[in-house]
Amino acid sequence: MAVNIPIWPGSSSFFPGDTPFGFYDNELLFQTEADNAAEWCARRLGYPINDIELQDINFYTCLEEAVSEYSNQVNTSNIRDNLINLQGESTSSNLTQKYVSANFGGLITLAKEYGSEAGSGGTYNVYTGSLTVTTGKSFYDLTDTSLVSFESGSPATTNFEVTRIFHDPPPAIVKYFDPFIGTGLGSQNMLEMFGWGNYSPGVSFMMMPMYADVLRIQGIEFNDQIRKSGYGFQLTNDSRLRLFPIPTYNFKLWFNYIDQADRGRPLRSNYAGISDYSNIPYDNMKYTTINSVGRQWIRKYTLALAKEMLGYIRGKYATLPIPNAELTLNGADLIAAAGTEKEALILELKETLETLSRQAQLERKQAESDALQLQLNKIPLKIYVG
Amino acid sequence: MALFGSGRDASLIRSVNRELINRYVDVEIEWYKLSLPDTRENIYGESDNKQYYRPVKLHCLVLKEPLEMAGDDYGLEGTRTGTFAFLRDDLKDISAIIETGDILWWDLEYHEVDVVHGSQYWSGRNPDTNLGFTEGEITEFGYSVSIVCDTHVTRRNRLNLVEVRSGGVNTEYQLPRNL
Repeated sequence: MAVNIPIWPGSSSFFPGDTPFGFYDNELLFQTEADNAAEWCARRLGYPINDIELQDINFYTCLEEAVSEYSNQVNTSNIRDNLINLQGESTSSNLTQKYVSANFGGLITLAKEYGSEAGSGGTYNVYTGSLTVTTGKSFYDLTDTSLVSFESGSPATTNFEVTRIFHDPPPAIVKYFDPFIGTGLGSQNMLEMFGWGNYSPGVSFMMMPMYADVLRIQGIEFNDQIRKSGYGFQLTNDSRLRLFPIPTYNFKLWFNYIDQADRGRPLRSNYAGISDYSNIPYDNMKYTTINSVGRQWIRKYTLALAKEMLGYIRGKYATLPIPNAELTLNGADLIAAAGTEKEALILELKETLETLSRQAQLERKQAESDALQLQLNKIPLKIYVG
Repeated sequence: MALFGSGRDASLIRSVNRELINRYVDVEIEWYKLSLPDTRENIYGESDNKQYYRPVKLHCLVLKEPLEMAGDDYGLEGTRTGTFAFLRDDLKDISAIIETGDILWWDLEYHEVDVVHGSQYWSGRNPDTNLGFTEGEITEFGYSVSIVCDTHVTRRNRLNLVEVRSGGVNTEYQLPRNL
């Protein structure tokens, strides 16, 4: 018995499960649309004047693909707009056809890397270490475990980088207001200067102008800088430390460091959610929620796909045998036309979505505002008539 | 096992052929099957009084050659040959077997079938005789496309289908007597 594959009979009846993926099969509107689209496409391809060598499930497949393509294009546009606002968020929320508000989350996340280097926040830990400084020794090896201790890791094995060394001269203020002695100049001198020397105990309620304190502190600092050895250090190869001046007493030198591995470690445990284009949770849209503008695009794309499919069927063999002759069908024409239509539809949709991007909308608003301002500028100002 | 030329593809060819022959071209001829039981023959197996079954309308593609005139001592005689190509599946559906001696009427001419060809095979296989398919080892492949009849125009007076000697109804053409 010869195989007999039926072709489009003129009508169809959709049942859930008739599409390959079944994304939209359970939506009543899609079920109705499937049969309508099949009939429309068949007629647009020439039925009933011509036979259409397709079946209902071919048309359903085209419709499903068209809806998915539309959904894909719109979602891609949304991802382009929203990815920076959503990176690090949970992937469990479905964002399809949801408004995503613009925020600074992504920008600040990017800026944090700069903050790490600038020492203002950042994404990796800054640890504290200490060096036992001894009298008369100015050179130290920070990998020496007998002298150096780390908050995290080991000086010998950790690939550390010193970010700050706390080796500064004592603040001038501690010389000025010695907590044990009192003011550096003596309170009696100050009282004399202000003409309150005869009051006793005048120090209890004496008030000095602030600039006097500042000037004295600056005086102390200049004195230390110019007349004394400068406090400083030289750090080479991240571990060889030279201290100035040569220490005259034993003390602990504190410093901050980072583990260089932390800096180069790109994975952040607190950003485990949305990472990129591939896992941002946009799903196929519900056909029911797509507006009429979108549905018309979907119908056109369905027709282009059906045309292409028919072209491949008719063009599988260059010629078909007919009694005592051969026949060439219009497969190549159909494929070419369908390709052009598909490309035009995709391009049209992409351009439309491009004009609706967040950036484009802001630019349009700005242009609108500028134009409005220009118009308002032409309105004569009110002239006061007394 | 073959990859191309499956029964599914053959179904497409059948569909396209039926659309082309039956709907687009839509040329119908009448096929008069020779009725052997009703035809008397002489001892040589010859008959000058052939009988035919009632005609059956069939769709086909016709190639009609130009009329050639030859003159001799007895006068002029015109000869014409033709080719009638049928979709084999159409004939198969109605169990029609066209044989040599059958008459095909088309365009006011009666063509007697001289030769019947049936060897136009798509992808080089006839599923009816393809051993793999007939023995159930493989699925259907190939397609026997057509039945092609080479014919020549024959004289009406030898057919006993229409009155050509005694006149008849004065119409553009006369219906066969046995209709």
